[in-house]
Amino acid sequence: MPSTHDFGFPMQSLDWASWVPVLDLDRATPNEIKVLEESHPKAKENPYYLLLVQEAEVLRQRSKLFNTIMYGPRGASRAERELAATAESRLNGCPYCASVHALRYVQMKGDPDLMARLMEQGVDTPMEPRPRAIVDFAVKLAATPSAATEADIARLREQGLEDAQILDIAMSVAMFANANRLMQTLGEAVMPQDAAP
Amino acid sequence: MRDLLDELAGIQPGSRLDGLRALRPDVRAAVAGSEAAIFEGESGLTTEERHAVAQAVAEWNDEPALAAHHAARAAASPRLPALLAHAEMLTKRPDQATPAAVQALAEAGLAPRDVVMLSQLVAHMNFMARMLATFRLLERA
Repeated sequence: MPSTHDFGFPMQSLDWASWVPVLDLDRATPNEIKVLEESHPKAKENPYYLLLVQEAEVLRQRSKLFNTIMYGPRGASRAERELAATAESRLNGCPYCASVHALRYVQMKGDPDLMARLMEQGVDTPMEPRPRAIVDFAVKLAATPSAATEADIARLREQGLEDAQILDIAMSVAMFANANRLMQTLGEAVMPQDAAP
Repeated sequence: MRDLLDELAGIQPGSRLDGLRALRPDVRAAVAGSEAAIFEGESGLTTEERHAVAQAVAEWNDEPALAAHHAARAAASPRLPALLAHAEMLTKRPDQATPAAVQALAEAGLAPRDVVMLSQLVAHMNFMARMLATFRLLERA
């Protein structure tokens, strides 16, 4: 059976192609333009957002949720939110999501080796105890929410995470349970035309 | 401002979980806003269809309170089986998505905008289920 895993998980910027007709930007209403601008700096050039903006108010609320969960100040570090998002995207098989967030993690935290292995080998690749605790929790909550247990929370606390930070990590996982399902099922990752193989 | 998650998770004002949630007030506002946009917005999908799909996704995620919330306003329609089949794949096996699956929705009469609404609805319910599971864990741990 074909799987979205089959594309592989290259650690480079990818493009995304929609399987569903997207909005023609020339015909966008002022409200649609506003929602695109609120959603992402490059949303007006991105087929993913041009697709989703056809339900403008749903996208407006979702972008607000996404941006506060992934980029809101304080709490869990942005790198650790990205780590959880990348592990889940790798597990679910969303190459586009995984590459975006793996690259963002490296940008913020360094450690390209960890991300390269996570992308190539998957979520079981060896790592230090703190990222391990985050990835293990993320993977369980991603796959079957009830599979995550108090023991996973205890491990995160042992690694020095406060409950507010644990909630941030969990919200990142919840958000990517959402994001992966949109990206994976409404279109697919494609190699950029100008990229080296 | 309180949202559906507070209600279903039984988060009392002034409790420890209420305090943790208060650190990110935009999450509550956007959850409430998403609920309104997805379930009350104008759409080619009927309100009853949207609640029926939401109920099923909550059940697949083992969230009975969330399922019961939607069951009250759910009702079947001739094309509901096609909507549920797509929702089940999105929820349980998102890596098996294909252009043909999207095409099947078009053949069931869904406009592109309706496909977006259905996908957003299923994605949102998968978000909600993980939030509820997290609140239970943090309450107990």
